[in-house]
Amino acid sequence: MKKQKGSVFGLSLLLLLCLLTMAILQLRTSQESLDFETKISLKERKILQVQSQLNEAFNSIALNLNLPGSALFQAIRARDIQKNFVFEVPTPVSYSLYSQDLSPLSKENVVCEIRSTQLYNRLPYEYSSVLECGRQVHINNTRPAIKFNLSIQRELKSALITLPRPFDQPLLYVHDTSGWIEPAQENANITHSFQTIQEALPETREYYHNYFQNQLMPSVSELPQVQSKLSNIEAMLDSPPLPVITKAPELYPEVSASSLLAFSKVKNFDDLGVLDLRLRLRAINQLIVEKTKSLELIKFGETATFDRVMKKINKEIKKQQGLSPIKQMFVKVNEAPIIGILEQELTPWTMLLAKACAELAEAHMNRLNLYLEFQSLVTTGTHSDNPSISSRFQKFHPDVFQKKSWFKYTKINPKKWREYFLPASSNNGIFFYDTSKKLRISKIKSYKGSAIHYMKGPVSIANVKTKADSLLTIIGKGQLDAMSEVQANLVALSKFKARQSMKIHGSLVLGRALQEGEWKGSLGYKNSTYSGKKDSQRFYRHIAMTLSPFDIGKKLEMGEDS
Amino acid sequence: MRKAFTLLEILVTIALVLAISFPLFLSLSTGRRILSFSQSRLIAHNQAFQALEYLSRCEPQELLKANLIPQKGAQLPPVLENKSVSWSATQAREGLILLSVRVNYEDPAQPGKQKVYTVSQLIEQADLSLFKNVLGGKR
Repeated sequence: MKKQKGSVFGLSLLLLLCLLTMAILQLRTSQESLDFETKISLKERKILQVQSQLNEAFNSIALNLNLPGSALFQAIRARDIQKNFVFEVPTPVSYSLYSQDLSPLSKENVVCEIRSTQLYNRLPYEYSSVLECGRQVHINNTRPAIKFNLSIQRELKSALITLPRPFDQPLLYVHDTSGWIEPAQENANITHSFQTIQEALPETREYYHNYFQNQLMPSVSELPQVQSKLSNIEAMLDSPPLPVITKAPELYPEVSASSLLAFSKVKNFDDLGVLDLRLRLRAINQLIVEKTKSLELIKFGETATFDRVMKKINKEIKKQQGLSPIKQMFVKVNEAPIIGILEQELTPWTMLLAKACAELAEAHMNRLNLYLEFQSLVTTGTHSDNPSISSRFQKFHPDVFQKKSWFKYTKINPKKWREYFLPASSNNGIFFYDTSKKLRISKIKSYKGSAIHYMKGPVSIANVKTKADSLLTIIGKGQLDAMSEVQANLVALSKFKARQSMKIHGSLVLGRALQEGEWKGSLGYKNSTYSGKKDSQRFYRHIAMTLSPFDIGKKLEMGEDS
Repeated sequence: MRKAFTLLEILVTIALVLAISFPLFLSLSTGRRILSFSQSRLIAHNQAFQALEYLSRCEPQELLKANLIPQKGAQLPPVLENKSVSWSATQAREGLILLSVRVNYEDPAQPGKQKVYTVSQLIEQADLSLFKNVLGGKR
């Protein structure tokens, strides 16, 4: 019985000990569970902290990328694009936000690296890169201590935010001069006018001088007063004198018009009509034709006039001397009637001839002066002799802009163009409109920002004004119509239509030249269009950069902290 | 003598049972409390993170106006309709928004006493409406 009681006691104790062990185990498991939950919570909160820190870093970079005074602005533009670029970004807002947190954020800067740079068009300042920002974090109040590395990648784009070089320098650039400057035609005009003034007309006058000297004078050799009168009339051949060419226009290269490019570095054209070479030549060419006809007509009357004059003189002499040969020897001829004949018959013809020569010369001189004036306004060159300019025109190709654009629109409602053209946050950047629908951009009172808008389809633009420090460039692959005041650089790659009311404050780049009667409106160069010499501060300010708000990659590496 | 021994034996047994069962009881109740607290905090944590994740993908401009617009073709997540979850968006700096989510939860160890689980995150104030047309990316 005693043994039985002892067994019950022992069994009870054993049971209790088992229960105690289980309880302790449960306590430990619960504690571990709490630790585990804390670890998860801490880790996730820490990731959130780092995520915030990275967001702040990206925001700080985005704000400083285009801020001329910031250290990043200068450093990122002057970097060697062949190499990765590493820099640190402090994140004060995150530090202060998480200073009271369960596990405060240590004051370490975010480390950023620009890498994988891809150039769009072999230009070292226009590229797309990957910007990776990240930092390592240690969580020590967990068992075991853990460490992780969180990094986020975003796309960084860099582009020139004005007309591509060298098109930022001239006020006007025309890639194909067909229908505007026709080298063969212009050269024929210049040569013809030059030769007419320098050779043909002096030869005409010389011919008549010789005629007077060799034909008329000898026939009246015994009549000194008549000879004197003839000399006076001969002198009329040179009055008014023919113009003297002091500076001749240059001949154009002997190529087709499509092989000729043209540009103008004049600062201002109050009326683009001065560049309408074909229209201006039309009036002068007409005058030249008329004056040439007049001269030919006068010259045509030459034989008849001289014959008539000589006949009348001979008749008068015979009348005075009669038919007697003796009389012919002793009677002195009265020269007054003969002089009268010369005054009546020869003087007017000679005056007409001299005047016609002078007028024709003046018309030709006007044509040469027109070319001189035109050449002072417009410089030309062949595509083959200017390969650097010619090839750089490819920078306007839609594929190039599509690649480097920051914002690309495909589904466009033309009625809502304002939403695309004037986004709420920023007007800076390169905008690409991939649509064949016509966009009508008008009534923009004060555009703020520097942007290039590339329209693949037709576009019309009117009444667009920008703020003083803003720069707007519109590129139209389709037809571009411009009217009223437009404070922007315009690039019309195919067809450009200007209205008389058009007033462009900016440069004009034309793929094809305007035709006769199409040169209308005014054009004035905007100094801010010029991006300056490479590596200059001015150039840096024309380079704009953007950071995509979307992550293109996220990397979380985690491990135990040893 | 035999009786006395039996009585002593019983008393010792009771004392031993009490001595062992007290920490047993203590361990069990503490363990349970820890577990349920851990569970409630984990639920609050998950709710806060779910809400934050949804909010961080919303239009920042709308968040500042305290507007919640469900994303295209989607309903608001149930967590944001939960009365114990509240959120706020404030401008932290130019281009940076501070997004905070608060979740009220009850500590099972102290019934009736509300605890608050808060998470905050800085998000960028980019005009996402503009970027919708860009590359179709999502933040």
